Amino acid sequence: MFGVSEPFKRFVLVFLFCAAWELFPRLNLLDPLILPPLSKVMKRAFVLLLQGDLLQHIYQSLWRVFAGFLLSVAVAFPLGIFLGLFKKSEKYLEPLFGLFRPLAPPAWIPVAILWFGIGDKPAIFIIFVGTFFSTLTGITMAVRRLDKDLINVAFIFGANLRQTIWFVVIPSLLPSVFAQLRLTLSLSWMCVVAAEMVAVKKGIGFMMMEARNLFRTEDIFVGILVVGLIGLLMDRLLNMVERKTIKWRKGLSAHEFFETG
Amino acid sequence: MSFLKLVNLSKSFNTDKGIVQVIKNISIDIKKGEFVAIVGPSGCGKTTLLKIIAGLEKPDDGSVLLQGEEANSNNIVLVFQNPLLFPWATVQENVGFGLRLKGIPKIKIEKVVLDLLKKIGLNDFKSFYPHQLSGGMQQKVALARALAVDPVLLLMDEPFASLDAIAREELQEELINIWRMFEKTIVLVTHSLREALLLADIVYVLTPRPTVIKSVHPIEIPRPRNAYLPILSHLELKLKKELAESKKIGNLDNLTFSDSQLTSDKL
Ligand SMILES: Nc1ncnc2c1ncn2[C@@H]1O[C@H](COP(=O)(O)OP(=O)(O)O)[C@@H](O)[C@H]1O
Ligand SMILES: [Mg+2]
Repeated sequence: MFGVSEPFKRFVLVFLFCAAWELFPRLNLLDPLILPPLSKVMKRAFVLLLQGDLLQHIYQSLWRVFAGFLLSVAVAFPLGIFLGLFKKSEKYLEPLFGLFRPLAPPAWIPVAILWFGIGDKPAIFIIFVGTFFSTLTGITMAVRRLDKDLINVAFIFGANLRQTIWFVVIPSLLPSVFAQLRLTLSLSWMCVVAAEMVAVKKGIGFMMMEARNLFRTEDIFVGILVVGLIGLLMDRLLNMVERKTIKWRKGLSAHEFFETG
Repeated sequence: MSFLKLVNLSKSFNTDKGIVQVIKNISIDIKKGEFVAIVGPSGCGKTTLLKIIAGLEKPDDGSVLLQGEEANSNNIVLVFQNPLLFPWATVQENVGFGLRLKGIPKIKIEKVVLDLLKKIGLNDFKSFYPHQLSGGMQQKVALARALAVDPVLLLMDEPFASLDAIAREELQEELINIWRMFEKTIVLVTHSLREALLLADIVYVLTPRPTVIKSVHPIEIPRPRNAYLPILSHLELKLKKELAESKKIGNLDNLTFSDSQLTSDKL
């Protein structure tokens, strides 16, 4: 199209979107109090970064995300492997999990505050309950999908348990484990923002909520931009690690690999 | 002296439809260096039989004796119907898998593997990943992976069933060469009579479930054989009739199934 090179084409819509964000409020098609122009939001972001405590908020949110993410992964992985290996265990645990799974993360906010008060703990708790079941299901399924015949191959060649796990099970699981880690991380990021809107005194979510209370529209949109960009960045980062680790499918992410079988 | 002796093997599975007797009192004697083919309709328990020999399944009854001793799966290798290569490993790494498990030094593994790859014409593909190879090529790599550990017994479960005709013929020929070059004892399971007659020294024909040996046919046709030899077609036709007949019996209600009918003409 118009001889534009590929990388530029991909961002045409992003560019149009930014242009609309800038022009609509500028031309008073939208009230700038409802949606400030992009340039003003960006300017404000820099001011907050350099003079305000935006970095502090980001730091707080990130650390909560990593704590919640690690906690969730640390509990869900071993349990998921167990459930995957022992089909019968699911029969007993599934009704229990089925009860908790439909509870959206914000539903836990009152409980979190009741139990943990205000601060990091309730936020981490909400990330945990918000990501735990998805992670657990993902890992259970990954273990279930293990190709039994591939394990039979290991047996045929005389592999012991340790060798079977190291040479066959782990490499088999790697693609779906990475896919799950990406999903869990992005879910954690969504949860933290929700949690911070009520249960804490620092963090991006808190910053946005405070801005709303003080009618600082620009700050709210700074929050939106920051949340989006950081989420994107984290996903890209994990994707990069994934590509480095799973060299045998260059150019295909784990997710795509499973789609194409 | 028999090299591999299957004595009265029986196996049944618990399924949701109740207990299904899969194989029943199967006894086979195999000589060292022999190329044995076992033919039977699909679902009759050929895979199960090989898994029992390889130690992947336990028989309900009977035993597998290798050179007079209870076989432990050591150095009996089974090549599956699908190549089952490790998708994350190159051809060279796949072929070296068995040796690596044994803790053999990397340099030595490399030497053995490259040597083997050269012998069976896979040298140019040593750094390919499985998904970059055709089905026939993948199965050849699986065969190389089995040969690399120098097994005393090579079991093959319909290894060419999922290949196209051209690749199948190529690999059949290749298998005969390998059998000669490496002097292996091979038990090949197949549902193709032609394949069995083309390759084996002796062909065992199985009935449908509960599976017993219907007949045994030593094939004394000199190699190289080709599929158009009149004697082969003649034999194929004869065995085909035999199989069709046993299928008829097999299709009857299991209750009226009399296995004395079938075992009567067992050798
Ligand atoms: N693990 C198992 N559990 C239950 N039934 C099985 C199992 N393995 C095989 N069978 C049944 O045993 C029969 C023989 O299977 P198989 O040995 O794969 O036959 P073949 O290889 O001749 O096609 C089939 O009816 C199959 O459904
Ligand atoms: Mg089979």
